[in-house]
Amino acid sequence: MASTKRQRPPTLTGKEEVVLRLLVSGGPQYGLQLVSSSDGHLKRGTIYVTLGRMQEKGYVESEADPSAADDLVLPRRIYRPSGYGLQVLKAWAQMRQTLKWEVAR
Amino acid sequence: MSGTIDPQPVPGSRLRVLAENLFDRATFERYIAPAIADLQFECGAEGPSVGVRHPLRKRCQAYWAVMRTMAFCLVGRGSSGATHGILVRAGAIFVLLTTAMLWLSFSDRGVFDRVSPAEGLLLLGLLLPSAAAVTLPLTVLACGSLRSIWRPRGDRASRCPADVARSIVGLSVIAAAINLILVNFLVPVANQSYREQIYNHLSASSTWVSVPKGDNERTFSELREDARNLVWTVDDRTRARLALHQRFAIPAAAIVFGLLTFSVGWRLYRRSRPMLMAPGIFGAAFIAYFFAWQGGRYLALSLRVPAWLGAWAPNILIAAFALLVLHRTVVQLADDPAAGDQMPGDGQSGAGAARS
Repeated sequence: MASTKRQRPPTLTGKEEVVLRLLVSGGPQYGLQLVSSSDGHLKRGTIYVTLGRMQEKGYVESEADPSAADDLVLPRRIYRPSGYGLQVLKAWAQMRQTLKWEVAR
Repeated sequence: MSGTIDPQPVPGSRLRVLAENLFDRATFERYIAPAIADLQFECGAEGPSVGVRHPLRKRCQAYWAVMRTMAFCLVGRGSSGATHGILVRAGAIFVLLTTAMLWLSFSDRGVFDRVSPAEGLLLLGLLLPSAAAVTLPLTVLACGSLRSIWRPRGDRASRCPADVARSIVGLSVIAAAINLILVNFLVPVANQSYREQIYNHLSASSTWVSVPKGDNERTFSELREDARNLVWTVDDRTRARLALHQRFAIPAAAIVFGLLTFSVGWRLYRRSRPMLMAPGIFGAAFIAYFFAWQGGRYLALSLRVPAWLGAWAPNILIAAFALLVLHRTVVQLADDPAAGDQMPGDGQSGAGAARS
């Protein structure tokens, strides 16, 4: 799925950038952890939609918590940045830096 | 202390079942399941002491997050075929009805050119309750032909239409309940405002003129008083009684259409007939309903039949047809239980397919 998306120039919304930065700095995290560590930048009601979309775009990967072994309780999902997501974040930061430099000149 | 302790229900388990039915598998796994998993973690699925550590506020927040995620998915993407189909049909009927009502009402009185955009929007807003009241039963009728409702999921046991029946009954009852509130409380007020807006547009008077209420604009209590008013003529009392019964007959149409939807859909499913036949049958049913409505009204107002019969005749007609179809299907099922265990379009194997 990510390969078809890569044909277009990737975009990164503000929330997606915050999520990627948090995942890079804090390591793999659950959705709830991301909300609590974002200092109010991420809301609980929208984080799962944001993470789902990022997963569709190929920016993050997720896996079910292996410690959950109960059929009644759903396993929590741990998110980590994908290689593609890291590349996009890096390119996005570089582009922003370049544009800032151009505007300043 | 040797007695067994009843297991506590897992938090969010009902929400999980609801979401699994509403959304397709991929959407559930990707968007909803992580939200419910965090809810279950936070609300103490792992031990009774957790409830103490997590007060009610936190629990509400957790549930709210899941509900918001589900709302996002429902509007934006990934609802199951049936839910998506029902929403699309409801939206299409609603837009068509509203547009038709607005056009008819303007073209009839020649005020189209004299209405400013702001006034047009106001009039449109006043038409919405009426359009919604008609949309709800029609949506129940239109959703019967959805393939995704009748597509069997999972093992053969799930081919029993009990789950389909539950969905359609649920949809019908919800539509009828909302319609009851709309028709009895919101529509009369909106209709009266609409009439006054139009009238004052056309009148030469510089002051606001209030317009006498018609049958559709009277409140329930006003209609009941009119129906009992002995000073009025028999014609007027009958008209009030008819309007009074119609206040309940219109919402009940949602339930009757639900019955028709289930019986016709099940018959087509059992006999392996293409589900494309359903829209034609439902279209014919709607036309029959409309003519029965007009006929019943005419007969009641001309005092040939009682007012209650005039109002309920369309529902009785459609319900009788639906029960007849249901009876025939059940009788055939009892005679030949294996017949039609095949979905329409699944191929030509199976006794039902061979017979059809």
